Amino acid sequence: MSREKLEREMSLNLDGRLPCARRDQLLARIADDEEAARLWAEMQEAQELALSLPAETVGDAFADSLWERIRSGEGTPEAVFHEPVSPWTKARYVLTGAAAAAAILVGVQWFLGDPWSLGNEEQATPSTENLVASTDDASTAEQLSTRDPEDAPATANPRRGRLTPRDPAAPPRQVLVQQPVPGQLVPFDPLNVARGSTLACYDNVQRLQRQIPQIEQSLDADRPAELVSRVEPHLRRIRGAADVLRWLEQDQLITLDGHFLAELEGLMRAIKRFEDAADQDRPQPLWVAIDAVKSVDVTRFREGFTYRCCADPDEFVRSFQQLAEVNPHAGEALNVLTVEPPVSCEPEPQAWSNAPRIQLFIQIDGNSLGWTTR
Amino acid sequence: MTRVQQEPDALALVAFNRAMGEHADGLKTFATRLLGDPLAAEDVAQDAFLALYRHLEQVPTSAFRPWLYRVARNLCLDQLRRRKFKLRLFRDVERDDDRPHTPEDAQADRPDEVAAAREARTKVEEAIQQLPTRFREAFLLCEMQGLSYEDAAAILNCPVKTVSTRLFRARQRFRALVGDVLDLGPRTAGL
Repeated sequence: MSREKLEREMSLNLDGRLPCARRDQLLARIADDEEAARLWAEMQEAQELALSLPAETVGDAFADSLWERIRSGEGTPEAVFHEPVSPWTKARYVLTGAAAAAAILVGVQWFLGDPWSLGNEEQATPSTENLVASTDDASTAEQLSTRDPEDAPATANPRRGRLTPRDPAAPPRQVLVQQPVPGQLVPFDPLNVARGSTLACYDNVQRLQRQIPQIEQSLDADRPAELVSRVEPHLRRIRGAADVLRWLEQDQLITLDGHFLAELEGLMRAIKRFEDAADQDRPQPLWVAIDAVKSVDVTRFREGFTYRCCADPDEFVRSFQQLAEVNPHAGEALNVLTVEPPVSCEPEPQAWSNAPRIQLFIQIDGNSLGWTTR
Repeated sequence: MTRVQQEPDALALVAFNRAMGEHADGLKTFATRLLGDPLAAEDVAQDAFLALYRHLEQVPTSAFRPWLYRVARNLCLDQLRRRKFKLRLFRDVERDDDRPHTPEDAQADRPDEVAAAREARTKVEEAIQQLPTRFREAFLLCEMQGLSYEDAAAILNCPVKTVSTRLFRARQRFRALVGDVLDLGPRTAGL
């Protein structure tokens, strides 16, 4: 394994993102190879160094000042919506604009009786699939397809120059690549959030467990304020991630594994006691928090949850089609795409098949929702 | 600036207040390390929460955190673009004596330990500021704020693999920049 690849594996392992087999290989290499062990220690130390920087805190008047701005009716700053555009995207926009200009020029020449022909009227109508396949060209195709033939100049050849108007009753930009939908649909946005939260719990518990020997020594030196500041950010992240997982379960999007839930609940009780006592500047709950973290079986976090599937994926797809037909303005797009299986990373359930995966996207009022099959 | 007429319901307000308590400091930390200016960073954090309040009906509670960070990132990059902001240390050497003492200072045994710890901390902060922006974003979000690759990918509007690569590169460069600090040995106190 090259050094670059070794470093990459170590970087992934720092975040708990290596599958079990590769992780075991990496740890075996670290145990056997002095250079690898030195590099691993250096990476961990650099991480601790970055994490040891003090966090910023907002001023006491932050909340009051914010509420004053809200009450005054101040709106959203415009810069909120200024997403940075990469140079490649800018280049693509320029090229697309040039292509659109060329297409319009060709279209104008066509109506004016261009010598070359595109064939019959059906070929001139852009298909629905083409509309979806290339969203950059879609607007141009729509412009051409919705142009009123009455606007064509008198000199246009009616057979060659006429375009069939787009059927206004047709759902906008809707394509089904494959139906019936194989497997079951699961919501992948909550799935990703749940996965991220589980990893956050795993990562922060693991980091705390690594620091415990040093913390226990420092407890003897009686420096509670410093220890609280080292432990508190990790506990806060664990609590935040746990809250997200519980909300997802309350919304019936995931089911938390019983063992994982038991570990998490125990940790939450200890964190609550730690937080209550930290407010009162008492050092004893540090012992409670440290004992709770020490006793966590972090391997439980890898099997943290299962996801709820939609009852009938075909019914699900039909419902979205009906939505688009009844109210095409309620949603911007409904697309069904087939994609190759993505690169898996822990925790990835073994039950996921290697068959091509269908992903279903819908946008409503600017919010994107997604489902994927398993 | 746009104006919004509807007020959020009580549950949304509870979630909003809770989000402010949980994420305001983290947002300010992230913005400070991106902009190099704690005062501007606090304004960015407040603007992000103002934006969240105005869009409470559209943002699910579980997505508050990545949404806030994405907005904060947009605001920071906008500032950097418009002002052609030159990143600098927010602790200059000549201002070092004006910095208030930290609890670690009070508990250190020797003044030279305090000075060494401050120098190490300055080097670490400098190293972060020297990272290229796209690497620094991934480093701040994943390494320092503890966000998952997926959340960072949503914030940075890029694939998860890209986040993983940028974070790896950021860690490589950071390690190279703080190499002499790493050689000093363990730093359990004073940072």
